[in-house]
Amino acid sequence: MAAKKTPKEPAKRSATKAAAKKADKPKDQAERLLNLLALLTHDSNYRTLEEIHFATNMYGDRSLFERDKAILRDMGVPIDSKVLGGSKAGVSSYRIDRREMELANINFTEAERRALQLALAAVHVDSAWAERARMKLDLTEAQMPSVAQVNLPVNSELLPTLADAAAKTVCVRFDYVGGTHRSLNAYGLLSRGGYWYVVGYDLDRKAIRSFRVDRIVGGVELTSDKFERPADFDVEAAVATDVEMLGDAGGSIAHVLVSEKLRPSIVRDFGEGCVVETRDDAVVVAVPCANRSAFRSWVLGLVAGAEVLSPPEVRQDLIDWLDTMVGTR
Amino acid sequence: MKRRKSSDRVQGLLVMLPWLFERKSASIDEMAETFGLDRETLLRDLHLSTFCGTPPYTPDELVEIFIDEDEVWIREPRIFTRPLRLTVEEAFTLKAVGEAALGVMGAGTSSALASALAKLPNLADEAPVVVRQPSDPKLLELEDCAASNEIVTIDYFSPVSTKTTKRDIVPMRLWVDGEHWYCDSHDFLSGEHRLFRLDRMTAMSRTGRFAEPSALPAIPDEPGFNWSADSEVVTLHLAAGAQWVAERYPTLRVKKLSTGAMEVKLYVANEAWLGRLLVRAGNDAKVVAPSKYATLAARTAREIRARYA
Repeated sequence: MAAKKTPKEPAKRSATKAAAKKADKPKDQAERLLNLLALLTHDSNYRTLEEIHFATNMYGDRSLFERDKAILRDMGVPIDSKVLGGSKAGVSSYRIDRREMELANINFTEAERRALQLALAAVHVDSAWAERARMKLDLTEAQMPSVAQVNLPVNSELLPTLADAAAKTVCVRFDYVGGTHRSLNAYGLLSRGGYWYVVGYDLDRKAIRSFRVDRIVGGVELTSDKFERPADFDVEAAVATDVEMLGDAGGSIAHVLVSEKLRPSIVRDFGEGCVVETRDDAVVVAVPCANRSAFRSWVLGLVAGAEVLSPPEVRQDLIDWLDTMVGTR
Repeated sequence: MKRRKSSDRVQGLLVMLPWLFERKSASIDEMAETFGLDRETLLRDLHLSTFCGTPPYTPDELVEIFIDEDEVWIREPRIFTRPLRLTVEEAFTLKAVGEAALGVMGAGTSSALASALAKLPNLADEAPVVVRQPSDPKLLELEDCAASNEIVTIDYFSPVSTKTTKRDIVPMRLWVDGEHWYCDSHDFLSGEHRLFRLDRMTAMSRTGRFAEPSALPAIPDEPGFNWSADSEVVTLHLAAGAQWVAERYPTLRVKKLSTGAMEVKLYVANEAWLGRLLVRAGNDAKVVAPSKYATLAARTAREIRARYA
């Protein structure tokens, strides 16, 4: 870095010129937004649109002000509004409380700072939110990310909205794929297997339900209806895994002959107890099959490395599926 | 050049100005690198901020920035001294990143991370956000080998050839995507960088031999599947019963057809992979292009059907 010197030269335009320019209506929206922000955080006074325009010469056009106000709010700036009384009865006025707007100083220890840097380097998200948070927290990029890393999809605006509703314990409403409308007390969110799920109490079904967030159609509406989240609620347990989707272990069971080579991945999913017989270069495994289509998809994923032995109707179902495909192509 | 949104410029400056204020001065290159901007864009944004302040907009009421050779200086401002609070999106993402990282970090770092997350406003009291990764018993040992460039012997099952090969590899980076752990490795059998799925390593043993770091190949900056312009692409028509394919696998394009079917383009890992996908999707999936795959579903179904003769 260059040696520090006494500043000699102002940035391209001098401040005086900038002040003179202020007499004109600022054309650049970014400049207008910063000046509106500066004015409304300047002191604790509420200002009407007329007063804002008088001070800044920016808002002869109310719609311009409304647009800028909406952009600032979208950025998370808490613009407080109050309807005045007395001689200005009915007129809206605005201010921003800096304490509400600004990030408070956080005293991280060196170890905490380093851990956050490593976490942000190890987890790759597909949106700009993590990077923006990193910069706000003044965390430099970790030079040596850990050897274990995670690709995490966090690109849907529905996720923070649902998390916000869960944090505020307010009911949400949304449309779900298949044309159903749902009202949900969202208890929490789960990311597993590349998908996000919102889990909670479905007010229409009167039961715990989970929903894939990417299957929500349109937006999520936050209501003002409050709920209480059960203290011991287990978000993860409420969402069936792919293996659990095959059916209940106490229900229908299929015996499948699989190549010995496939044994490790099957044991990983179903446990060592699923192996009921060992042959030369194959094993027979017992897996749930109550959900016939999920079971079929699982066993066909093993291609020719697997053969359904029983029950006969499940075996026949698979044969029929294959015959239809062979016959129609 | 694509025009940047005003809100992006403003949000950028509201991070940049407090950062500069903390340091009083910084080089243009350092700022450009830190904030991911080119010099011209950075200077344009800094220039913009000098127009901003409070009435009566006299010099002492405006943001004062000076550029002296390659150094940027800021005079103590009255405004924009702190970044904006984390937005709901940013807070959620940090929470999710933290949860994901807790699953892959060592105990010491995890504890520091947990206490850092607890200090972040709006995060501690949030509702549960759980990020669950698949587990694999080989993970810790492979991480250890990757950190020291230790050569590992693996038996690797390939679903394409349905054969198992014995290979010496140097694990270089482990990463999880969706349901599986992967290992970017230097593979001595091919002499190149190769990607291995951990659950397909049917055996693994450490050799006690170590590779020279300079002898290892470069791996992509970010973990992921190495699709390129040369990678093969297939176009499928999916009826309702097979539209899960578009949700499950990364797509290049998805188009809803007037028939209610979906047209998707996706990368093909290899023919065996596509055959397996098609046979699971059944008659609800049809290959539109390339034509060489038009009969692949039937061929794969016939191969499996032969077991049931």
